[in-house]
Amino acid sequence: VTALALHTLLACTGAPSRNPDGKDTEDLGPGVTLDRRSAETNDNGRLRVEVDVPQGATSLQITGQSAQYVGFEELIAPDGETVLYWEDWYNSRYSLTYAIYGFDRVTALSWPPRDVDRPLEPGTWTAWISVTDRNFIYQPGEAVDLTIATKRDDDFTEGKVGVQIVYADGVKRDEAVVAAVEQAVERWRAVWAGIGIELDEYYTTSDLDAQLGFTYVGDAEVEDLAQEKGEGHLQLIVGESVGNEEYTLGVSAGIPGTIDATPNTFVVLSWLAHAGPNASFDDEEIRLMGETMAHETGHYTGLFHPVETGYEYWDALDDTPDCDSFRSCEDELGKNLMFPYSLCDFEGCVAQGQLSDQQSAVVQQFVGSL
Amino acid sequence: MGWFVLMALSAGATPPGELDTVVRALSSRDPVSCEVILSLTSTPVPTLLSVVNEIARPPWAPMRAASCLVQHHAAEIQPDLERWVVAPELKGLGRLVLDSLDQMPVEVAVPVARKALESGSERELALQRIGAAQRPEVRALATAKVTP
Repeated sequence: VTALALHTLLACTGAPSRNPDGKDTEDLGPGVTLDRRSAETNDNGRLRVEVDVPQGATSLQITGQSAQYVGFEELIAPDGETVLYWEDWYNSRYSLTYAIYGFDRVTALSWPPRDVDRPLEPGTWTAWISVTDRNFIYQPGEAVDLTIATKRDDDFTEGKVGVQIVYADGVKRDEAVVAAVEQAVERWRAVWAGIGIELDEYYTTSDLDAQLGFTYVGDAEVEDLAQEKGEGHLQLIVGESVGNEEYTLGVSAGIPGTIDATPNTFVVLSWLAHAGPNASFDDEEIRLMGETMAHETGHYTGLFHPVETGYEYWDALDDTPDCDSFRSCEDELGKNLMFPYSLCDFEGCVAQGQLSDQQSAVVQQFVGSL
Repeated sequence: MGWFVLMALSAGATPPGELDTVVRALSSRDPVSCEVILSLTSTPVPTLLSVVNEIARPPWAPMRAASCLVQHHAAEIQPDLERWVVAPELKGLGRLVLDSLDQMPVEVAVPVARKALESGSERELALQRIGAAQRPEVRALATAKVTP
């Protein structure tokens, strides 16, 4: 076994202090701090990552990027307690994180994912990462780029999320679409303001094809664009369609997504799917588009649907009910931002902007919520 | 919701519960494959056409229904496709069709593309997207159009 014990020296500010495991670190200053390094999987296709969490850090995100598929198998606290083990969740009817599945070449693990999980504390945390091929065969000697992000956030009840909004090629030239996007952002802002999150958005344009064909595989150009965003910020890309599919509204690249600049740093959105058959927006369609922005970026911060269509799978939160029929789910969760589908009749669609306390905590604890 | 009840009345041939399920699936905020949508109805063409023609909310429900029809039943709805690329009030559906020419049988794609070039609601866009089609038979229409 050639497990790599990696030592993280996070960029720190403040006075030194002694962690419970006896190591000296310095207090972490406010905001997000990133540390990047590379390593290789051992003979078993796994990689051990040690992260020295400094005093003051409240949230952690580890991102692994490889040519193959990256998954997180285990996270161990400084005292040796395993706080996350992949088999506990892999076949569960409750969803906590996609990080354990190894779906993608870029995978992020956030800790703590919920307010009921063991808080981050100073000391050496250990993560075990797997790299597999598409048939889930472990890949020894596979290079992995790692990014360790930590934030200090002394008040989870309020925060600010920076978002770079990118128009794909040609979209910016359509004034009606640009106006609709900007109005939709106001709806998104209002939804997130309800949980104490301030939205700090800024716009740019790109040469990305407006059909956003990269959606399910990532793209180097997406990474280039992400290099231009602020550190710790999200990236929302607006195209005419998503993944060359006219029937898809929006997609989050992960649950959670990474805040580092990678080919998979995106939430994508189709303006045409929201404008509908006439390709023209009315006020309700703009509101719905704003709710899609908030919904998809909600996924990016770590939120799952409170119940999946089929009513047999739920999120891992305690204050979203485990309803089991469309009738009970629509009654109990129909106004929730993360409800899986929109509820409409001839008079209009139900406003879906509510979040439970635990859902709000997921967004607030996300390492990009500063 | 009243939407589902009214749709059940208008779609006639579709069992009411089945139609409710289709509309609910089409209303999803996250990706839903056409295979899933089509598996929910025993009468896909009339059911999905009813959604396109009669459902306005959420706006992606008729768009998704149209997309599934284009991908899986294009030959059966060719007259509708030709109408969608021409009608100015259906520019969204027209764009959807122009972006899907490579996914429909070539014997459908060619006359639909020709219609879009001759009398489409967005002829410049049609010229551009038909010119970018992968099928040479379709692409040739754009070449012929711009050749003096």
